[in-house]
Amino acid sequence: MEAENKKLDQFTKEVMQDAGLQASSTDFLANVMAEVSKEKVPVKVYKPLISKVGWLTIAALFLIFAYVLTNFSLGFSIFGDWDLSSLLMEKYQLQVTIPSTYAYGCFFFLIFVVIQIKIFQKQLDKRLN
Amino acid sequence: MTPNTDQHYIAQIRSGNANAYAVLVSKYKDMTFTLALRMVGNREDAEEVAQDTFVKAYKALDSFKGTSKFSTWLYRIVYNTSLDYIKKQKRVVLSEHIDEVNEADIGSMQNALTYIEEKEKKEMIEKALLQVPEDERVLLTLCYFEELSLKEISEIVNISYDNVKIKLYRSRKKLFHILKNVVEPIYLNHGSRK
Repeated sequence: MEAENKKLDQFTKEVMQDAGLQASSTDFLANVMAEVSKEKVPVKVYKPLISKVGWLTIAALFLIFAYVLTNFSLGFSIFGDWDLSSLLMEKYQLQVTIPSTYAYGCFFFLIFVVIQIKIFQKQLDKRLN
Repeated sequence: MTPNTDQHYIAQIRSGNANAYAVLVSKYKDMTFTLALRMVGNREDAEEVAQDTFVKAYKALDSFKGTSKFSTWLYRIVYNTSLDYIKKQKRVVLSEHIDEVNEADIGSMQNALTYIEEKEKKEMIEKALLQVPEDERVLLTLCYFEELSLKEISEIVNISYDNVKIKLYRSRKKLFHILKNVVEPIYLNHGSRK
């Protein structure tokens, strides 16, 4: 059975190779190009991932955050009693001082990374569908 | 010097050089026409379908993502355009009954075909192919002439990998039986004349 299938496979290959390709008419290319010339050139327009409005929103948010952080005190800490310096000291005996500003920076940086991943995922899905 | 790839010409078209499309049309026109012919069954309609395919492909070129080969993408367009054309014509192709094939039969057919002139053989195969259902003709062409992988074929005709395998198995047998019915009488005639 397997040998028969192999032989039939080889036979079909030979037959299809013998059949070859059929030639289109001599004016085929000219006809297609005449039709194509009536169409708009399919130029790929560059679309930035973050639009102008997006950049302006990011800049505005950044300025608002900077203003709020430098001029107002929230009166409480986002991290509560949680202190990164003492945690490192307890767990790994590392004596490093991590300023609150640095911890806040890392926290907000992480938030932005997560948001960006979501945006990238959405963009990628859009492109692949 | 390495030859320019399809992607190179696509980039040229996208940057505004519409004439670069002529290179792609020249490269794929015969294969596209052959696939269209094997689907629709006559040269006039196949010419129309093939031209329509290239115009459609040009219009949709900005949506070509390059995740598959340009040829695979183009063959999918010709396949779908041909299917639409057949649907409009409302043609029904009768299915050929399939008998079992044995090794000796295949050997004698190979032998018989060697006695037939090239041109006559080509015409005979083409006529036999027309008796195989149109979707199976395309499968045979893509698999045995273009030598595409089963995965690529399943992408073009939009059926599962296993389905492609089964259909190819059936179409091989059908083509063999049709050819046998055509070739054997000629071969016997040749033999009796000798």
